[in-house]
Amino acid sequence: MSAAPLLAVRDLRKHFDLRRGLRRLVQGRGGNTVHAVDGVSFEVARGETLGVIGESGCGKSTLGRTILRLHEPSAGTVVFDGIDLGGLDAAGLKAMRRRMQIIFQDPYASLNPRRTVEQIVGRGLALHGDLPAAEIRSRTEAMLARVGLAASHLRRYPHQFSGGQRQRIGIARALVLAPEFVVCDEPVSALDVSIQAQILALLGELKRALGLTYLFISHDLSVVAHVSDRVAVMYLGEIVEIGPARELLTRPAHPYTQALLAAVPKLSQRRGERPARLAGDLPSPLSPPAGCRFHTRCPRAMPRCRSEAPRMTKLATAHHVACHLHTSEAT
Amino acid sequence: MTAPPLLEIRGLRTVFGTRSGDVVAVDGVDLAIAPGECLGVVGESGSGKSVTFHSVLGLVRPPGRVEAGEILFDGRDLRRLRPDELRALRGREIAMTMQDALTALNPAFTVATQLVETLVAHDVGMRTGRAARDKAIEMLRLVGIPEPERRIDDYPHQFSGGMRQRVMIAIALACRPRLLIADEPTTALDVTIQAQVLDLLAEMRATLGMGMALISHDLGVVAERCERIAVMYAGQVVETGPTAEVVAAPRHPYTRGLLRSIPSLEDPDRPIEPIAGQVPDPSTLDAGCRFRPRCPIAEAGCATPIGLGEASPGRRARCIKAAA
Repeated sequence: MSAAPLLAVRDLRKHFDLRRGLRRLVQGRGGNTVHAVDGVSFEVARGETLGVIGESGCGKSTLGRTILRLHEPSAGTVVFDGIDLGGLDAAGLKAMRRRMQIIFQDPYASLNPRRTVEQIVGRGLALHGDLPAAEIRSRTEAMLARVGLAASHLRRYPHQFSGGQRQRIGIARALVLAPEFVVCDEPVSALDVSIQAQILALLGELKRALGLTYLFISHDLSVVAHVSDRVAVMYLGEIVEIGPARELLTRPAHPYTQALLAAVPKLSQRRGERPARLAGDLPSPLSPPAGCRFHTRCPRAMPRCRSEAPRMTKLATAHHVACHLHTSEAT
Repeated sequence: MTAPPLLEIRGLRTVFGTRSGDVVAVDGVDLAIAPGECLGVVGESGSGKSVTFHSVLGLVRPPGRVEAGEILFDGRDLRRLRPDELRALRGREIAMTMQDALTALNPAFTVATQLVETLVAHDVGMRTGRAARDKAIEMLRLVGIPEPERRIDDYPHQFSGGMRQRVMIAIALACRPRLLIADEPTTALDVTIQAQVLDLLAEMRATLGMGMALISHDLGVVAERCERIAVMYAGQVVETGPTAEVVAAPRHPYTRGLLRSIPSLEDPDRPIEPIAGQVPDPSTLDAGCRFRPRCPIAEAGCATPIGLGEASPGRRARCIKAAA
């Protein structure tokens, strides 16, 4: 990346303090702070799609929301197009929101059931700038047409649409302000496969037509592989590996990435050669394991992994991994 | 299949009465599972895959009803059984695991209570609490729950999602059924946990020699684990056959469309081709092919009723162009 990145995230942290009642419930499980995002750094170039993959609770959704300031970061910086979002006042932040938007996972929960499509999609236009009502309406209509909905849908309510159509409404809402950067937070997880493919195709089309930059968050490795230029793998609040999508999939360096890839069901049956499974569950983010956070489940853990957290090591151009197997002292 | 099937469904029709008339959820479904065989049943929401197996177990409640068809288990038609006969069979000979273990398990009782209840209800040799409890602990150990002696007294919410699924599998398998119906057993789980649970099901099937119906919306899950698959669409089976053959050369345009619409990890750059349109509203169906409004190769003849015909030996498809 020679040009300045559109988005630069540096050592971003988001910790959630548990309230007293909850704290009592989880007593004995360790700390009182959930380290949802714990020191994440990366850059996204303009026009690029960075996929973020990880299992539930790894912090990928919190990451997306903290970048957009839907959560206040606990530490670290987010620089968007040269502007440090941490230094902005409320008005400055509001102005930035035109340029950074989000598409949510659940098209059933993320649309207000008491608002018409016109109100939902047009709301952003009404809030940002003083456009005349007729202009808001025509832009809303144009946006709906762009996502494959008709003008006749404007007066309808979310419950009158199927899941796929609702996600189109969510996309229209996010894109109506012509943002440059969009966080797609599991945009197809709630959809049936044939509809999922329609939405993925639409997101791809819109990206090309509008020159968008995506942070594409998903638990589905095949989907992420399909849409992303680069992929970041998260585990317990940290990025453990990041690199070009093709390279990361064909030559995964981190044992966790390898295990994720091996666990994805394949259409072609290859009986007999069952890869080793990851044992156990994700440890509690209240008290992440010391050293490398993955060492409790890692098939290749070494003594030093229990005490010493691995640093990001460069493997190849743009391919980095945080694993002691790849630090020079290990070999 | 030369051995007589363990389960054979013929012409099953299940409808749900609504104010605006009957909605046919399952319409003319034929399926068979041989002893020890794993049949994958794949389809999108509303395709009728769960309702089909709820019908098998007599779990369809009003306003739903099984209207027609035969459900032969070991040669006996389950639709002709008295309620008490069916109750004796359910859980003991045929068991089912539900998609969401958190709602399927009773949150107010410990795992011990729920497991022992199953054993006592079905097994005459388990009248004493002690014997049933020992057996329950053994089942939990079998499904890979660490420290089963201690965990058996925990409540469902104290288990993780994957462990909860294991608990439900333990309850389903407690009476060593001959057929397990696993309804979306891994849908709520992360991919590494999904692999663990699918491994467990495969292991249990081998250990107990039971037949299994693996219901899933995920073609990958079914393709990897089942010898044979049935693809359902809008209440009907549209294609069945050996998994490897169906995946390699699908005969029904819906199956083909599904395969093309899934991004592939092996070839992430292959463009995905969505199926246009959406699943038809079940109240607007006619007698013709239900996929034809979305089908790229539909023609005038598709408006006539089309049966699930033999496409080649061992393979059947509900399409007039399937034999090609």
